[in-house]
Amino acid sequence: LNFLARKISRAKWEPAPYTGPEGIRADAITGSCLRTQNDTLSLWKCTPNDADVSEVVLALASTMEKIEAMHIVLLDQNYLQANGFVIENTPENTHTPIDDLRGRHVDLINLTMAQITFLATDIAAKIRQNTGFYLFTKRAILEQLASAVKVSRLALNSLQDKVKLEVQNYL
Amino acid sequence: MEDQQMSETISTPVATEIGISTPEGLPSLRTPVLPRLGNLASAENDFPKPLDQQEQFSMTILHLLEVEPIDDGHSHPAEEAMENALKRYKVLAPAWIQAIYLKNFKRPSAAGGILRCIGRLKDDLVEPWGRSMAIRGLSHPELEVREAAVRALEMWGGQDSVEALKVYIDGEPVAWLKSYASQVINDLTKSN
Repeated sequence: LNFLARKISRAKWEPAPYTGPEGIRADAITGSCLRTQNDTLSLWKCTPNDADVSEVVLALASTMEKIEAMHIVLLDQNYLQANGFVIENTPENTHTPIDDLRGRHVDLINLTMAQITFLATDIAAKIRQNTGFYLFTKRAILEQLASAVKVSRLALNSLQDKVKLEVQNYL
Repeated sequence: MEDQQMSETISTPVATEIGISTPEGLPSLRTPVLPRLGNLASAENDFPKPLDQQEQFSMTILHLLEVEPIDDGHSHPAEEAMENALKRYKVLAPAWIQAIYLKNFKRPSAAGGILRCIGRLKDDLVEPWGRSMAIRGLSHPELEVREAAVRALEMWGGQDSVEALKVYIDGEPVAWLKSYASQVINDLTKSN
């Protein structure tokens, strides 16, 4: 599990006419993609394949108020550590009701503006190369949640009301 | 319809009525108290224009979209404000929301944000005007708005969404968005 997954709004990362082809829109940073709290950013450990990134999506979706498509970007943990990022295992900082996924949660801590810029540059480079991105549609996420409920990995009652209703209808 | 519009006359600040606290920093969100319908004729000079309420709603929505980014899977205050307004002012609120969208159509974050919000509302609250807004969004020059439009159609689902996406998809120049729209068509086709 040497990659770290983060949910992003991919559309905000595409260059705009005023940024030039290599530029990054301010909204990409000030929006929810790299929004920090206590100088901390929440990420999830995973390996770079569909099945494992799906596990991260399951963890994220299990705490959501509604099921919506999501974009995930993967960051290389070793690359971040080599560049001075401090990564802390923080299973206690996630609200996912799925026990076996909590251990994947990490925080990038003590972040500075320079480090946020570094992360933004890394994500933008992936956008240009079209690598390290995963898209999950609403239905794909619904299927993930329903599968987890079916095998009793996830309790239906632990889901938020609207999500619970959709999963119930799907099952 | 006119009667219904009259009965939806607002007598308290919109921000309060739609269930949100008045955002700080807005110049004026308060509208004068409206007279009751029976006093209309005699109170012509005091009667505030409907535009006042619409402006107030518009400022509130735009302010909320500005201060709080939309996070996938999590409710947004602007979405809740729209939902409350649509339930309370069934006739006026759709026109207000469409007006904000049209007025801000060239501002991708605002136009996209409005589409994201209405896409999260139940289709019976936003049909048929919401789908028309989304369809218009599919041809927007900015990717952010087109993606928001695809998302809205995905959220509502149904054959109408499938048809709209089929018409749009061949003209989409951005590969990942085209792929997303294609997956949505497949997903919705399976569900129908």
